[in-house]
Amino acid sequence: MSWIWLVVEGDELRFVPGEEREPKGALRADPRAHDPAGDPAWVSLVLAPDGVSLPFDDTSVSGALRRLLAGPPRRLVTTLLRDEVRFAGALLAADEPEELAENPFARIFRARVLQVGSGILGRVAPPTGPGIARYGGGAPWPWDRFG
Amino acid sequence: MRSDLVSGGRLPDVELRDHAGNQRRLSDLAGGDPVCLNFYRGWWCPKEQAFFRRLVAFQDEVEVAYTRMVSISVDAPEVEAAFRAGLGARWTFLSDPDRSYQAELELLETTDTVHAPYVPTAFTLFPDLRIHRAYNGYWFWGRPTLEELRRDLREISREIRRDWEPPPPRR
Repeated sequence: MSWIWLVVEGDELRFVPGEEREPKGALRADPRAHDPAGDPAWVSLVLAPDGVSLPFDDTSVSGALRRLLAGPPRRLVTTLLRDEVRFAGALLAADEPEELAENPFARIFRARVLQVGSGILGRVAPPTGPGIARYGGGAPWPWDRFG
Repeated sequence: MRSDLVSGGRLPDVELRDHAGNQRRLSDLAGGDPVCLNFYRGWWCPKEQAFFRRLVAFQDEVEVAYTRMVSISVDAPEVEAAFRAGLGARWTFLSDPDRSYQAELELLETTDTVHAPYVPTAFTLFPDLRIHRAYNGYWFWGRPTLEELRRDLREISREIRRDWEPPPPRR
């Protein structure tokens, strides 16, 4: 299984390798999301309120994934998982803030827009589609293969 | 069509831009899963429109079945993007306006001298791009039905998924 820990501290994003011990309050993200050489980015960050999460297979989550696959390409998208099966949010990154006007995950939980500097977020080509199911626990969509 | 593009043959690992302009490699798009791949004439062909409506209905099953879909034409990425959006398709389209692979695969439709499109051809593929079945769709009835695609994907999945038979209870 593959993921990287995402720690959100205020308006700051920090990534910790998935092999390391889980930082307090961390969420699992697609490991390709982090790029130490990445350009600055605008981020639409959707986080479930404290103590709240949804099964990843909840129809609201599936619906958001379908809308993303059908919509315009994004610089980067990763769902955020609380554990192997619980959806706790999503991160969409763009080069320009206008590209974040429509975030399908914002229909599930509230979204906020952040500006992050270089060396944090990468670029990931969109998933092949039309797959929306994950490859089992601990592989945040759109991580695109087993293992 | 090239004579080895039949069951047991292997499709080359084509590298083309997708509908969003990203350079993509077919093996990466397969990502370890079975693939439904189709070469199509273009957005303007009524047979393609009918066939794609079939595929769009099919994607609701494919999206939960660890399977990929890829469509290739000579249309430019922005044309494919518009066609894809109009259909409501949620899979990747690859664009080959230079016809880079048409000669290599011997898939030029010689009877259309206006568009010089790909001959409509569908493949069901193993993740390593081995061909499970090939369908010559020059005539519409040569294209796979959804039942045929389901059968092919079941056969491929049964072969590649080591846990096709559910694991027994742990002792």
